Amino acid sequence: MMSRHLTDVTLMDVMEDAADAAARAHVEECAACAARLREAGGGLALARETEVPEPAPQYWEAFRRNVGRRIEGEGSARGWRWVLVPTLATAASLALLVPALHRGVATSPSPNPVLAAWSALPPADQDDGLEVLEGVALGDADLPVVDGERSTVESLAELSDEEARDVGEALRTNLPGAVL
Amino acid sequence: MTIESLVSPLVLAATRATRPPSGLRDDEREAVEACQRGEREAFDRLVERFQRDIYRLCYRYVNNHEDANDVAQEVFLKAYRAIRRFRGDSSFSTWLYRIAVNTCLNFRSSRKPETEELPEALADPRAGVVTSLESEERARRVREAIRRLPEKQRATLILKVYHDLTHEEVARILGSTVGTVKANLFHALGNLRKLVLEAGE
Repeated sequence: MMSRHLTDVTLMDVMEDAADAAARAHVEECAACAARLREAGGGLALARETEVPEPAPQYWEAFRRNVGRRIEGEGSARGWRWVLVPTLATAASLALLVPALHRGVATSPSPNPVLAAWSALPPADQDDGLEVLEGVALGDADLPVVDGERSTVESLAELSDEEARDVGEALRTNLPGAVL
Repeated sequence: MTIESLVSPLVLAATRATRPPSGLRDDEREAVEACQRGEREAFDRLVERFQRDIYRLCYRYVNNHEDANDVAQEVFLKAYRAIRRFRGDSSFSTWLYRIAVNTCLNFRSSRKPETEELPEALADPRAGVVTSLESEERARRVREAIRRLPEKQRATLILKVYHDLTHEEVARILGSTVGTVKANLFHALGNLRKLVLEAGE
């Protein structure tokens, strides 16, 4: 004989006439389990008493029509989407592509790169490398000026008449039409 | 004392599992496959076959015709959108009921509840028997009591009691186990009686 109370699952089995003999015997002798079974049975009887109000017979045909209409509406909306979505997608792609192409042309590497007018270098007070560069600049200040760094006018003024004549001929040969 | 004196034979008969094991019936399979090929008329046949069941299920959740109508239509619309993905692992009705329960739950959660849902454990308000009530008033109280049951208990009760599904079918619909379904149903029935008694005080 079972001494412990039945579980909810077993009580449900008893209610559905699916429990074994031991469980059924327990319920007949256990007041607590019998009370729980009675409560659930009462709840089921109440639930069984209530029916959903039945709509008018014509309702079901209207219901099917409405479902069909919504499906068709969705289908036509989808049809529009099939036209609209690719169009919008193309427009969106162009909107992204044109500036990208523009940027591509503007930033494509040129044979003679031009330095940007601005610099991404950090501010002077945060640039650890600046002190090194300043040191280099100070060292270079003491070096003598080489010939190539002197002005063209200064260099030509120091030429002899013969040297000046040779330079003039060379320029006329290499730069025809130049007024010298 | 006998069990029959505790639970009437009518009640016992009403809860017995009488349906065959679920699987896709031939006529359902044919209609589903036609739908998957894009035949709209085949879906109309499925709507005709299940519209009453789905409407009643929705009505049990929302308790009025207008919302039940809207939600039931939404259920079929969702089913139509998803039918190409239906593989026939369960019966079509199980699949459709699952969509319906989810749609009802979403509908309910989108609306502010009028009264607070009961906690899972409910104290017995009093020991006694059901007093006689006018049938209409009692029906209203029962519907209201069902509405106040915890989600899983309510879904289990609706599917099992009002749609005569087997425990296995209910378990598949709710993504649960047979044991849990039985336990939830037992709690739901006990709670339902207590709530109706409470409302009658």
